[in-house]
Amino acid sequence: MKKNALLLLVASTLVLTAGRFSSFSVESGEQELDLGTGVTTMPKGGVLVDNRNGLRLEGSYIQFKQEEFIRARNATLRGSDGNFAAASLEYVFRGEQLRLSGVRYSSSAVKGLTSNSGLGLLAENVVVLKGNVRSQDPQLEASTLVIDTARNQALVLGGFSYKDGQSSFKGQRDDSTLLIEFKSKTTATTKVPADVLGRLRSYANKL
Amino acid sequence: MVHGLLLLLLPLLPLPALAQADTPAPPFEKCEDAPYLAETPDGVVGGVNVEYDGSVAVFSDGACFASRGIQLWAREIRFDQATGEVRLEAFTAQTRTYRFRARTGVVRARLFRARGIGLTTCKCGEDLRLVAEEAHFDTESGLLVLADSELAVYGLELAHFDQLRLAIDQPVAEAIPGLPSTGGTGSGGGTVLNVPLRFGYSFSDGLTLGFEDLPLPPRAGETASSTLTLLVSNLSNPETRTLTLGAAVADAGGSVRFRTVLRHRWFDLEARLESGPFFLTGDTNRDEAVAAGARYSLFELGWRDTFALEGARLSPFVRLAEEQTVSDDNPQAHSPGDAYVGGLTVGAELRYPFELKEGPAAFRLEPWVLGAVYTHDSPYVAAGLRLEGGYSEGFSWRIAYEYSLQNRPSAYRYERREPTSRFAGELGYADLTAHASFDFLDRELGASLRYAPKLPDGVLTAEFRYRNDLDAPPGDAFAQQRELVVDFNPNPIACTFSFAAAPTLGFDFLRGGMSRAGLELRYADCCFVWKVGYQHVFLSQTGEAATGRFTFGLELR
Repeated sequence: MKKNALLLLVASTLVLTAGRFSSFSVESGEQELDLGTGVTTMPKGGVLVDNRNGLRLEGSYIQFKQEEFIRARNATLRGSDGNFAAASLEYVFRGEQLRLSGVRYSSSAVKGLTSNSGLGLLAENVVVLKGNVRSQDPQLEASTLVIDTARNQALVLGGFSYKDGQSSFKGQRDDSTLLIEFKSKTTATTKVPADVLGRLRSYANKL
Repeated sequence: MVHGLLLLLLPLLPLPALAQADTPAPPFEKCEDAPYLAETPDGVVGGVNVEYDGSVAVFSDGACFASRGIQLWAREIRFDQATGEVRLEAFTAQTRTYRFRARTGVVRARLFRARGIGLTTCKCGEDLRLVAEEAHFDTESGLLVLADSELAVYGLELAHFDQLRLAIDQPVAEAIPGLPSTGGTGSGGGTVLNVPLRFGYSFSDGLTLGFEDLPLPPRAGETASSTLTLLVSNLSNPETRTLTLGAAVADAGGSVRFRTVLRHRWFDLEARLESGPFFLTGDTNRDEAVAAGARYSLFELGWRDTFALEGARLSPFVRLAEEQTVSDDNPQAHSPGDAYVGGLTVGAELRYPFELKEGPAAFRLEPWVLGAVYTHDSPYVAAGLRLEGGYSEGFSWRIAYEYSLQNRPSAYRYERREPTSRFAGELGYADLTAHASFDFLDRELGASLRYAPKLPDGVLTAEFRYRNDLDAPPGDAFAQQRELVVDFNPNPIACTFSFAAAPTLGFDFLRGGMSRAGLELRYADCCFVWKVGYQHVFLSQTGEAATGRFTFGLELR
């Protein structure tokens, strides 16, 4: 059931994990460089592009320091597979961590995915979505979702519900766990092996 | 039925392992509360664990399925999302009335098919059960239809049904036609079963032992039910000792019954054949009297049918009969019906019940008239009515009056309706009930006041009974009653393999002494409540003998 659509969800997060700003340039926007700290501020917003990874970041306010961080408000991150929007975004180059709040995502496959916060651990190919994780199509609600794109695994933690046509599937307890694996077929189990649960839950705890 | 035999044999048999290992209870009571839940077109599927292989979701560890008030627990439930089919392995279910188990089940498009069915009313084990190879359950109508099922008690087959339709919350007695139930709820709180075992002991007459109307296991493909009677009574008194032998066969179309009673100096025969509206009876002593003075014998061939006519019920009858009544004990020979009478009767009875219900108030009137003409006697006419009124809300009251009269005593007992004029009234509020009655013809006044508070462990009843026969000579204590009876009826036994006791005590204020004392012990096993009681009457009130009496009863839990 359900999990084919979750596969699409995982595909969507590939945008995030591919979203490594290896090198970027300012496409437009006023820049103020603080020579003391090396931090560039774009107080009226602007656009950063990473041509190598096909990424484009827009924000109403952007601050960055080369090789250290990018911070943006009302940010939109456009990739080839869809668009991420966030009330705030912070990318830390060391550890390749992307922190988001007020996350919204849309692509041709997944409509209206939102969550309170998001964390991309790009070096480890892991994305965590936490707090009111919802998507309109497919209809999914969860409290925490951990996606490991390298291993093609996703872990749902806490209560969740998924609707598809005439059937629906729910995890009704706060300690619900559902491991979804994307191989030749999508499989899922609530009996999550302890090592997998420990590894993926530790990612969730970082957010 | 077979319980009777079993009770007799019970001391001889090593007790089978009654306690069966039931499957461990899942950590949630309602399937809707399962940790993981899938809503399917036919109901919800839940479980403690779920595995999905890309096309089928498998629920396990307390897997359940709920639909239309029925909840099933299975070792494993598979839900195929593509076809919408739910497949259950080794499932059980419990409704208010039954426990089910089945080997497999499939739910698809509102229809539930199961194989390898067992169904029982027992709280544990399956000493009383219905088994069927196949069944289907309509998730919309809530009807369970068993094909080719058998009713068995302690492994003995009692009845076979080609098709049995059960509403899953229907009371057992209505649902299972093979159960010899009285249909009522017993003092133990369960459905009362007619127990064919007869056991009694009297200090003057000795033991009475045997079985009456014991059902015999049906043969394959047989629809008729047959019973057997073998009873010895009053074993230590040669004057009143009897041996009763009997057999009966019945099916939907009619019945045949035969019984003979061997006595000290004579024997009696009773035979009755019924086929649709026709009946044939031969009875040398219908009263089963032990004294020759009250003997009454009968031979009859008759037809009687009942037709509904716009609210009225008309029962015409034709009867060719010979009745013999020897009423030596009755000095008042009041009719030609005494001694010997024979001939043809043609008659009819018409009843017209009328009922009215308005909220808590109810009213019922049933007038009736009966007429009969004879070949050798003048016609007989009797008429009467019964009037009932009641109200029940907060407090309740009920009154009833019954009146009838006849032009003369009828030629035969069959159509006789004795003259009546009786009033009864009842007033109830909370735990208190007052009752009064007056028979205008016998001039007998009766009254009782009952207080029955519900205590945590059962119901305590204290009842004062008053009766006065106004025509009796002064000082005739047997025409009067001033008795206080206190008894305690414990709550239905909740735990299996446990006992409860129901004591009774009576005090006669008129004669100043204990009138009665009794104790009923109840024992609950997985399926039944067995009741054994003894009551001794020290000071007899009218209509009962001052002696001890054993009682035995059986109820479904």
